[in-house]
Amino acid sequence: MDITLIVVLVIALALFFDFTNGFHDTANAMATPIATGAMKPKVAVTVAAVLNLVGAFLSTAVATSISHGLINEGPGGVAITPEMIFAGLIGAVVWNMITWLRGLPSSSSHALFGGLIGAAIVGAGFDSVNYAALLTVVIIPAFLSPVIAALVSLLATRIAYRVTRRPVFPNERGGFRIGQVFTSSMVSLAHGTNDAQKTMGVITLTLIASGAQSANQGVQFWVVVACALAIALGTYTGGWRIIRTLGSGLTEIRATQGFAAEASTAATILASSHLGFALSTTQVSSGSIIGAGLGRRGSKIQWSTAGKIVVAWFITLPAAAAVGAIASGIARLGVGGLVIDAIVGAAVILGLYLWSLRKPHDQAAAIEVDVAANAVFTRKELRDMQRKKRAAQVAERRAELSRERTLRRMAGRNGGRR
Amino acid sequence: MGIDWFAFLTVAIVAVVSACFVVLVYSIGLRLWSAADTRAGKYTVKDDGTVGPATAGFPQPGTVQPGVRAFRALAVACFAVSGLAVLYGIYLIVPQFH
Repeated sequence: MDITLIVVLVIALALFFDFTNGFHDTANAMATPIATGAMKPKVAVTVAAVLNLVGAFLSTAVATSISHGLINEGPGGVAITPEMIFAGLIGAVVWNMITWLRGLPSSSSHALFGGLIGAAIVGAGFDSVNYAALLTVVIIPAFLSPVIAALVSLLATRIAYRVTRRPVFPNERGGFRIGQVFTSSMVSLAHGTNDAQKTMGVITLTLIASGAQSANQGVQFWVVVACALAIALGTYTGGWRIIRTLGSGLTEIRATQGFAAEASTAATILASSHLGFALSTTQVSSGSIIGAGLGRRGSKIQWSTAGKIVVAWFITLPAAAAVGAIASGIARLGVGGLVIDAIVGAAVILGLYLWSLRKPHDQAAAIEVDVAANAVFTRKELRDMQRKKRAAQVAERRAELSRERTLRRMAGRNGGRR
Repeated sequence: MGIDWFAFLTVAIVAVVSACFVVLVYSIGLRLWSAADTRAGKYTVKDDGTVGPATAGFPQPGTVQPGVRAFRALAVACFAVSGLAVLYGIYLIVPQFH
């Protein structure tokens, strides 16, 4: 086996995975500030890119296992060969591209786990997967994290609206936009520290496996730089399709909701990563947005979009595993298989990219309809509608207050107390 | 197969408490800020409790109420507390700090 070829292929593909991870997850932090106008789109992705870059440099602890115990690695288990890593990465990248094309936010880590699992099953048999860990690390959090996030965000949104309620004072809900800049930036930074590290782990473990570096040596500096740049570049490219889905496809987000949602996302992610188990950023942030939508009276949630997103979460792991398994099967043919893998993988990725260019401004037809519901009105029309609605509300409140005053006067006349 | 349900519960509770705390403090800050604006005569409060922008010159005579500075100071204090929460979050994110 030509060890140099496989190492080069894995590193290139790992960096590309890092890139897709970046543009897939820009939306988690930046969809709501872009939707509410807290930051201009270009500014938002630039801030996210810089914070991801900084985050990648901050966190360089060596990962001891790529798969978080999903695959029985180490003594007594199977050795993950660079071929398996390569096949797993193909699965992860292809699935990331497909979900991006459909505008669906799905977890990049689950795609990576899925790809590795598929590759390991083909490469080393069904015993190589730790199914108990699969349940605790992937499946149960996938059910719980959106629910927890939605609950947190629902409560936070209610509180925010209750405290800044009209019409006692002119409300300053515009001020939530400033807060949003900070909460979104925190989500971005947290993402950078977590996700770039994953790719660094993959590359470092490949280098160790191939004997290019010793096991007790930390992450090499060029690996850190390359991963940081790849994730930052991906973030800067901006997954506009996913940003649109999260920013306006699920529900129409206002500044108050956006602030509450991002604060909840940041709080949930920080709590989860410091109290034991990691929840997927993507799932937490989607859950928060749904919670924020539930928290404001009169806001509608496109449950059909939400349903599609949930379906995407649950098929992410098996789908990436299937692609990983096929790639792993081909890779077993030897060097020729690896070359076939690389060429087919590159062709599929290029094909998906070209397909995305073919209709650059619509999302996949299914999502399009939901988004259209929010997008058919121009900003001006929406503003006019809101203004009319607000005028009606004020008139109603005035009438109510005057009724109350009359009642109070009547009560006063009778000597009663109200 | 040890599923740590207690850990899930802890995460949920900590997340609810911390997120709600930050949002509450920041919202109170915004509300106090707008209260200070109102007291400074930036708006006119009509008899029915609705609020409009000050019609003529600002501040309009008769609309200025005492306590502008106190409200502003309290609002700034609230923003400072939210700022501290953000700093604590950054402290948690950056591994070099602990």
